[in-house]
Amino acid sequence: MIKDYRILAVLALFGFIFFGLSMKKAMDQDWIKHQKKYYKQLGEDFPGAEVKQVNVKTPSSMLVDRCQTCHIGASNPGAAGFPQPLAAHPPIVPGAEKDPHDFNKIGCAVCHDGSPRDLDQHLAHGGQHGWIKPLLHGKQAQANCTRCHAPEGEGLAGAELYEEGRQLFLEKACWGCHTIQGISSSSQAPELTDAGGKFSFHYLEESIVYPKANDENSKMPLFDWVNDEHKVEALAVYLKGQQKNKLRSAESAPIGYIKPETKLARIETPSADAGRSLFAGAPFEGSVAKGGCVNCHAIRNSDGDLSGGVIGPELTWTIRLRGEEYVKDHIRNARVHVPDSIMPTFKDYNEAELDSVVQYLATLDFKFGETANGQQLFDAYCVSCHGENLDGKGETAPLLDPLPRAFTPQFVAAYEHRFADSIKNGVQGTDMPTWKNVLSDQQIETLIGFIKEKTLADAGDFKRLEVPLPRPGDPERRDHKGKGLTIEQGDAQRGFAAFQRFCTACHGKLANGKGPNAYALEHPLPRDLISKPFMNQTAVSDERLYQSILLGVAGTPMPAHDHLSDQTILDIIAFIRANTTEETK
Amino acid sequence: MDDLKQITDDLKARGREFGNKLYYSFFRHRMDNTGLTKSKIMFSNVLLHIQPVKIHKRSVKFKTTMGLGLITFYLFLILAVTGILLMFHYVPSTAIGPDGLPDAYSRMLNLRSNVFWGGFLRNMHRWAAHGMVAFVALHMLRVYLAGAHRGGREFNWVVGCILGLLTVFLSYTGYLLPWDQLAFWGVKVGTEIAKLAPGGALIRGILLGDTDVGSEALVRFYVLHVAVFPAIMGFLIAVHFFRIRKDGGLARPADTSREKQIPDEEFGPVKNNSVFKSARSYKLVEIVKGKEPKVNEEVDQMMFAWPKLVVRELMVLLGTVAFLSMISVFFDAPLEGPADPNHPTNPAKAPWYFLGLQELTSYDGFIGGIVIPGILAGGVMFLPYVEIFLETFTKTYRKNIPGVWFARERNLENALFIGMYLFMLTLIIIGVYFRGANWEIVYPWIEQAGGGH
Repeated sequence: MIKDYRILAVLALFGFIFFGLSMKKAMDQDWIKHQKKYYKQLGEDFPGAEVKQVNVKTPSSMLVDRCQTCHIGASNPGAAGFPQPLAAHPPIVPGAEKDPHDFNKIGCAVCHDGSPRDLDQHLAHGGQHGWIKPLLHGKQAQANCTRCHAPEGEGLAGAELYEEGRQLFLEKACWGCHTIQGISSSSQAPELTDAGGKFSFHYLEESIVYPKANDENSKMPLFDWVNDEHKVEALAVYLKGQQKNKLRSAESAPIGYIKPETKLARIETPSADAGRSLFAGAPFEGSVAKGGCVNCHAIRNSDGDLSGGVIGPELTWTIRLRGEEYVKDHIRNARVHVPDSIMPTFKDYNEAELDSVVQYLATLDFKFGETANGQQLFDAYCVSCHGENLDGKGETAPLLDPLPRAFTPQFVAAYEHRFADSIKNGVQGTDMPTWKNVLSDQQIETLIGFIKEKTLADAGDFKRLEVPLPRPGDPERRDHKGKGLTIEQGDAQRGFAAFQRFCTACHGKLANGKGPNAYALEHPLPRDLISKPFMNQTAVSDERLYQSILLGVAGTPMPAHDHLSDQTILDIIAFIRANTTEETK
Repeated sequence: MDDLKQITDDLKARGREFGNKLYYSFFRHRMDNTGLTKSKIMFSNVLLHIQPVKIHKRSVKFKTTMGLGLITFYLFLILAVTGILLMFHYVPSTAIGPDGLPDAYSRMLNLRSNVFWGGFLRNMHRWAAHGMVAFVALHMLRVYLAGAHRGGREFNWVVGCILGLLTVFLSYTGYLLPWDQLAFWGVKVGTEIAKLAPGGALIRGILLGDTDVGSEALVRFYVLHVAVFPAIMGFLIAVHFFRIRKDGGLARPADTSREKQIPDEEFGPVKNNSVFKSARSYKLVEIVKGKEPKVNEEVDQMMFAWPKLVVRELMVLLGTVAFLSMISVFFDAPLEGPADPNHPTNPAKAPWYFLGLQELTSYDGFIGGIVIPGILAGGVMFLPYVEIFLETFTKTYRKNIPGVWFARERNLENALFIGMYLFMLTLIIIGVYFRGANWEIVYPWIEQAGGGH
């Protein structure tokens, strides 16, 4: 029995110890120590621990803010040199005699976020796992100026980082893809009107630097300026400031809240200078900076120095290649020409602004001299699509349809006679432009020589047959099985049947090059046979079609079809032609 | 002088008389070592009279019950006390404040910051709730392995099972109340599992008051948690205890004379001033039909409940409180960010006692969501009747030895029951520690990247 009482006593002792510990934990808290230290530094008597709670009035209800329980000297100028967390807050509005922000009324979390109810440092600073609003340190708090003020327009004193971010948003052409109500409208990328309400500061920074970090499917390009931490921070501050829920209504707001009417000055008369500003994303004569082509596209100055982004193709010769109308259409909606383009639609541009950009681009007149060698020419003109290794896998290749040509040895050996024309006049129905305004005949020769030199080294003695197109009634080209049938004119009806039988696996039932097997094929994909611009150009003659079907296409998965009779091939050609001639529907 | 002495003596006597009157108004008995006093202590005290005056000696031995049922009961009491204190600070509201936090969640933040002792209270409540679910399971295991669910106690087993289910429901309804991500998605997953059962969607709808977990669900869970379930639970606990007494105390084998007993001197001296030198002193008033309560049997193995039993019960209580306090001082109850229906946590896990089922549903919705829980809730609840049924219809009457651990006659049943426990335990361990994002197998010692914002 005595043993039982002893155990009971020991257990009771343990119970009291842990009860005492729980009491100690409840009473011996960091904030009380901070307060004691604060009054000691001030040289005053400690008046007793007190949770300093600010009830911030908002239109809906009170916002509880207990930050100044630890940051007790925040609004006491006498505590300027104190160690954190006791120090006075540095002035917010530079140059103001008396700072208009009264921390006894607005607390701390209105600007700095965090978890203002908590009294433990780690928790209060938003360190809890999954906390929605981690602390905004120092200048990052400028993001929250927008909760009460409207810094758009003339800019708000003390919100310099935010203003810098705003400039960056315009200058770096973020607005081209992202909508922020009142600033831009585009459906290309997620809307950022409430970016600050939805995402944490860190999330925003991360997404700017590496867009795929938070969204694997992001199409947003990797910009090279994100190496500049300051710029990223500024832009993230601006985005964090985009919050739908405001703490002040228009009536109860401090000065500067009511949004000034921004008159969007437009460019009225086209000029190359205006185009230059648009291209660079800089404001022009009071207009809002609404451009920034340079963030994705590079250009060369007259000396041939390349500068600009590497996300889109180089634009030095684009006017000379494509002509003005193409470029204007492309700016309005790039997907007219390039179905998978990630370029934003600049549909807000007026005619004068489009003209300005085009005029500016037309001033780019850099050309390589006649002495430039093949490598130089290829690297400048061809590499972005055809790739460094001439394999058709350049930077922009994934966006193009059909894909750029891969210069395989067989292909070059078989078709080099077509190259000069393709370069000079472009290839209709593809993204290959006409280079005759940029390249001289001599340079084209150099380029072809370069391509041959690069690819034909190990081509062996590949030689392509030349089989002339059989003519109807030609006695020499009787049916191969000796049945004595003479060749007739191709018949689209029969051709349809033959096409369905022999061609649809790759070219598809619609003959658009998207048959079931096409998905398994590598780089040169089946030709879109209903592309009128392609099929109707002079280079695509019946003879070429005939040879391509009979012999296959060198360097592509298109196999030889020498098991087909001449008549069948002619029928198929007739069917393909019937699809793309202008008269048929 | 004599006068003075006489007056003081008189005063002393009156004082003593007054003291006696006070004392007897409270206690109504002396504190001596007689059997009568020891009996009076037990039956004149409202808290103690739940127990009989005399109990079997083996009842206080640790190995008989390991105190598991008692610990469960004490945890319930602790939960009631801490729960009531927490109610002073809690509002079951999802209204969003200007800081973007739901009201219920803000109250959690208040509890851990400026409510004195609030964090500790919440920790106590949280850990006690988890502990109670665990101890209910252990208690049930003990009862089964000791064969204490048979021999007239079958219905009490059913009551116990209902109590066990209520414990889980209480814990589960309480799980939602903090209204953080953990709560929201844990409950969401649980209610999604409920959908799989036949009629589950209807019950789910009644519970949630909505098509999804939201403000209505919070209010309903709150009312269930603080009023409905505790009331039912309190009543059933009374039934549970009452039946134990009417069944003759803890289950024990018919013949305990050869068991090793606690020596008599352990129970404190008894001055036997009764005329019935050897019999149980109350045998005359409790002559009833049947063997229970046993009259005039095993007299030498019976003992007064005061003070040994009471002290041992106090030991369990203090041990429970001390251990729980220790856990609550050193480990804070988890609290994630505020509930956000648009941002699921990955993985979204139900509370641990449902994770076995969640793990099963991840293999097969029907089996994990309906068959296994059906077997668990229904099968286990009616297990003693299943046993009786099988024994009756197969005429394989096996000798049932209640109150003996791992009786050889029950090896098969015990093995099956332990197997079931191990099965669920394995699933729960896999679910808790080995499941990461997208419910893929992960190793707990490799830190996972946190999801969310």
